[in-house]
Amino acid sequence: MIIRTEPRRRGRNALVSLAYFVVPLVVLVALWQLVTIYNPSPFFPPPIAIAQNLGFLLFGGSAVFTPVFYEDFLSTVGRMLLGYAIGAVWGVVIGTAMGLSRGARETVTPIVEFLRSIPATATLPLFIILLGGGDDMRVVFIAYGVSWFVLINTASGVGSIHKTMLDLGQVFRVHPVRRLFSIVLPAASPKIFAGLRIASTAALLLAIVSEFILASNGIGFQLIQAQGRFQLLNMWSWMLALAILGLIINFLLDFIEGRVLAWHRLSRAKI
Amino acid sequence: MTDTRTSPTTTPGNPGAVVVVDHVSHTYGSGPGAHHAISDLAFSVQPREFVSIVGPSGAGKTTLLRTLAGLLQPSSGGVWVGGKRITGVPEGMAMVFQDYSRSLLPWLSVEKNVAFPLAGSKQSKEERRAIVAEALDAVGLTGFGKRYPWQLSGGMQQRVAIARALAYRPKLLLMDEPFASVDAQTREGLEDLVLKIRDTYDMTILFVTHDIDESVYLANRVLVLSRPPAHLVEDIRIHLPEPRDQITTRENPDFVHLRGHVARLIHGGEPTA
Amino acid sequence: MTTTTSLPKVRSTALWRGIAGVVGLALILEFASRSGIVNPAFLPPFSAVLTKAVLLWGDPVFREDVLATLLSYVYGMLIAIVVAVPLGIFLGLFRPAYRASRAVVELVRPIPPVALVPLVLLLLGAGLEMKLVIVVFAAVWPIMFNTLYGVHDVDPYTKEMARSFGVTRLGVVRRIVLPAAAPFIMTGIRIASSITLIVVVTVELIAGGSQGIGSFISRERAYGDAESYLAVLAATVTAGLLGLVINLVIGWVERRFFGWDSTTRGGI
Repeated sequence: MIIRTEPRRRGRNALVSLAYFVVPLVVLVALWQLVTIYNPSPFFPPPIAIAQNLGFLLFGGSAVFTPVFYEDFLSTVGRMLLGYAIGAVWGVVIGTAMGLSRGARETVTPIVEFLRSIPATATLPLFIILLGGGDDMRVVFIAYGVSWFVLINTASGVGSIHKTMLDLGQVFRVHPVRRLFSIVLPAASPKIFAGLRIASTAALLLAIVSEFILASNGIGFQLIQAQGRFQLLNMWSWMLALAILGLIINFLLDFIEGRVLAWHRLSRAKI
Repeated sequence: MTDTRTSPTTTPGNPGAVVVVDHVSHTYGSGPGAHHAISDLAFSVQPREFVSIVGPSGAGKTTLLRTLAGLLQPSSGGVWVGGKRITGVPEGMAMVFQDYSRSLLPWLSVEKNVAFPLAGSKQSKEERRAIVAEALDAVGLTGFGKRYPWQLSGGMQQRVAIARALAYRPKLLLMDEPFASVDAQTREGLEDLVLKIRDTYDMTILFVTHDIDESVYLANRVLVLSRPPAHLVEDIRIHLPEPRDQITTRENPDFVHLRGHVARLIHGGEPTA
Repeated sequence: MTTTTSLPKVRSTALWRGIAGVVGLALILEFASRSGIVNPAFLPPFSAVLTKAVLLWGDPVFREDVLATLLSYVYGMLIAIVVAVPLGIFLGLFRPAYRASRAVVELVRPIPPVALVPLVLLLLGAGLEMKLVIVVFAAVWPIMFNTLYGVHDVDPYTKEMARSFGVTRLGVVRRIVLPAAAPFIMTGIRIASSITLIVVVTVELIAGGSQGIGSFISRERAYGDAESYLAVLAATVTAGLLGLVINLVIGWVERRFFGWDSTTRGGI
């Protein structure tokens, strides 16, 4: 079920795309490197040094991964993933309920619209007051912020399912639970997935922000540490780590979307 | 309030009828803005009948079909299917929708779409596979099982929808303007397909359409509805030779007369005798 | 009665249900707090929060903070628009430029803007410039991408038609491409608006020493007593209200001036 272009043309296209992608990057990095050699600035270290430093920070030790890798990099990733998972599930559940019942949706919409206008990051002090400065607070905080994006998109996706599809479930006497999982959720999945994508960016951001205050480990924590100690090289290295993390997440999501939502992409291409 | 002259389990009027519509009316909304869709409809359908329901565009036909399907509870009156008054979707009934692009699930292959209604039942996997294969064969789509709906033309998609209804092995088949969104030539093929299926599978079919020619061509009974509030204008028996043929039947002078009669009924005014 | 409403059309049942929802929630919160079902230290009564919010508005220090946040928002949006729209138009019209820029964009974009705060703090110190740098960095992406998409997506037949009437290339851009892309640009601005407000408040939160709602919340939290908790809650609610009002205004502008394009109607 794959749309086939000629293998040779596909190969050539891919090569050109790759060139467009890689060459400007290389050129920019090289330019930056050159500038720092002739005009060194403490604020903008050479890119090669940044990359090297990051490598050292994460992989330099006697084992494959350094303690820093586990303590800071993985702890951020772990919190982010856990908060993301909880927030996503919650968002899908509430969003589905809102999408299916017009009464529920109309009653709850003003509340939702107001609550989600509150910048999620601005609620961090509230969470700190209520739950302290520990990791549980961070996970809950991330989950809270993530859930709004997922909720809104899920409600929209479920609410916009065409009547005929819902009739179908009723006419063939499909059990309501089965209707939910085999009609409602798949039909809404493109919009739900869009929400999940935005939520993943939010999860990373919220994780970092939560590590700026009262933290003892994490990428955000390391960034603040580096700022306080004027360690520009470390700071840049951690920002590079963030960029790479963001890339990996995007790549993973693209991959999953390619598999799970192939039908959506292809069916729309047809029209 | 619903009519309680007869107890819910006794079919009023015709015994042995598959469907009985007992003075059904339905109004959407209330107060001055209310829309009276159907008003005091009453008829019954015998087994193996092919009944066309035809009328001008408006909410009447669809409302009636949804009521028959159990998707809608009428404001007054009741519907009996298979001898039992329905309060929801009855067993043994399948429906083919007008909008095939929305009624087939795009994330499932043709096979899985056809098998979809069967998942709740107790058959084994082999039995289901056989049923699906047979249904696809009946609509002329053998070998298309692994394709996806959006890879097929409109006519083929509607065939899949019909196959899905067949796989369900219904006694009663409701069709809601199923060929309205399909081009004329494809429509002819689909019309004959439906006739063939009725013969092979021993079904009762209720067919809603706005196409007058189609309604007469397919049916042995045509129910003509008026503009909303829709009431039954006339219940016409169609006595045309079977099996029907797209060319010879449509040339038949009885056909021409009948369709003219229906057309006059629909376009308003009393029919000239 | 035909007046052009600035709010989207709302069914009357939806309105009543919505009001019922808000009132119901307020009552539940009030009752839960006053009766002690939920510890009042965690959940102050709804009325108390509202009262505190009203009191805050009377406080000139708070009002200055709100103004600072609003100004940062406005400046940030303006600068972002001035930077992102021309860039988006350029990249949308010249495909090689677009393809060349993708690598850099894909690498730089995922960095959360707030992660840049430590660096920019060192570079520029705490203050308006620092805030604006971060805010603009965050806001350009949605505006640029939507502009790009809008320009790119213009029906080529329309452009050909104009050319066949003798319109110059520049003329085509001015008279066909830009108007067609305008709704998309507006969508980008709408998305950027909510991002901008969030980033402004966040930066104020984490970078000590600046003015704004975020700074206010951060300062109050540090006091750690019950009264300041109320203040934090009230200020947070105010921030939400601010966001809501801004969203509504932008939504109105979008509907009023760009509602002719069906793609911008009814969506996230």
